[in-house]
Amino acid sequence: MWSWDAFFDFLTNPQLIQGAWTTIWLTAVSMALALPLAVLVALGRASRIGPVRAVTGFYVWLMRGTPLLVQLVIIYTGLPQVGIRLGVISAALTGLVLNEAAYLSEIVRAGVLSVPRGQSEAARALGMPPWKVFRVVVMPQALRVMVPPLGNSFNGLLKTTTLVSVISVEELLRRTQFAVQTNFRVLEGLTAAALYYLAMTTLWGLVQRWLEIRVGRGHQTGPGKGRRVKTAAAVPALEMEIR
Amino acid sequence: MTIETVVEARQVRKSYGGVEVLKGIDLTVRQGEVVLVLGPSGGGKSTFLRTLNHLETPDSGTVSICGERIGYSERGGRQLALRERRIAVQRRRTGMVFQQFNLFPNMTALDNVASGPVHVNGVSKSEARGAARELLAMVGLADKTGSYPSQLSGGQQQRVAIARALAMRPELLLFDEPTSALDPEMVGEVLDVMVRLREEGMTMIVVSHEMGFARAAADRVVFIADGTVVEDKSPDLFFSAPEHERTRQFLDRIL
Repeated sequence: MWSWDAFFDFLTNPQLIQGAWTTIWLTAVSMALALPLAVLVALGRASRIGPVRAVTGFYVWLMRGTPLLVQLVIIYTGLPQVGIRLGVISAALTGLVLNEAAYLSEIVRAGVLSVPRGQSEAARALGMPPWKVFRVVVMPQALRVMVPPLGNSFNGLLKTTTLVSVISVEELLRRTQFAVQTNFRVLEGLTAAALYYLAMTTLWGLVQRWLEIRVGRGHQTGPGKGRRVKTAAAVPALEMEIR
Repeated sequence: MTIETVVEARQVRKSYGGVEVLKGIDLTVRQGEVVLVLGPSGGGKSTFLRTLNHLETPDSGTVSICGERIGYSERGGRQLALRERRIAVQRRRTGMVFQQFNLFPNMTALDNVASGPVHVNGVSKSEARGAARELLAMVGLADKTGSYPSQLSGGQQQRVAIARALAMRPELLLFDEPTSALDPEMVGEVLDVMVRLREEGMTMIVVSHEMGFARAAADRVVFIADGTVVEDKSPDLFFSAPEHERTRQFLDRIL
């Protein structure tokens, strides 16, 4: 039997709310640390130095080729065998960041490659030094392409964090499981947890929309501020983007 | 009065995958001169133009702008390739206008023009925007400061691109087929700006097929084919009395 009372009890359970909070900051911190690492890895894979390319390529291959769950267990339970002992949170963050950065580096790489060569040439012709070319011209345009897939990754990461419950991080799923053990109302408890996840991903969806509009300034795509002109005059610019 | 040499290129060579596209090009351009570079496509015009600001690295030969060797330093007879950061400083002296405009799509026309002074020279944003506004007015786009490139016609975009190059106060402007991507009715507005720049004494090297511009505004026509300079003379002589068979073939086809 479904019990609405039990369901609402779970929804308002401070244990679950705290767990949801842990899930949010775990996701946010992982993403915030993984993104700069991903930029470095993407740059490494495009490096002119062979060994740098090899090491970063190996890293991405390894992280994408093995399950996160296995990585987490190795980091938390396996590494102490060779004397590396990490706390629960550190182990969870290490696993999430290393794994996520490998995937994000592919997004960064695709984003940077999507910026037409003429853009960096124009910046160089003006006399911008390499890091300005990257920061002022290439990166903002790459971001526009990167925001949708990055947003997807964030959405995915919100849910992937459930895996760290296995190494006993008290995020939303683990807190829910604890709470369920007091009354064995599995259906109500996990439905409440699912609703929390749904709320978090929906909220994120709104943030992502806002971000996409923000980085899309000057482009036809996206709703913008209603002052875009779609005349034949806009075509050369469009062609440039496609090239 | 001394006439300053702005561009001095000597025996510039460049190969791609075993194919030599520049076979030793010499060119000297003095201050205030407007040089039109003509030639069949694939003949090396654009590649040569791009060696002048080191967007293209020559395999051998030397390029000097205002007496400064571009891309290399010489020490005790040895050539050392400069770092990209040093080359960036050297590029401030030359402005470049591209066939595809290459405006930054995420910046307004005003910020495109201000981007050089702000991000290269470290000028404050408000000061750079003030100067940018004047430059946009000069190219006839005073009312388009807030427009993004996607909201502008090709001719307008190219005029913004010229203003962006001018904002760095270059000694030399390089034009790489500036009107080739434009609809015919927009070519004139861009050429008008270029003619005005000539009147103001700007040194320009223009790769283009605009014969009208050649006759009206060029001091010299340089004909490049098969990676070499075939002909280098005044527009009058170039069109009326070309010396080489290769030039005549080319002129027959385009006139």
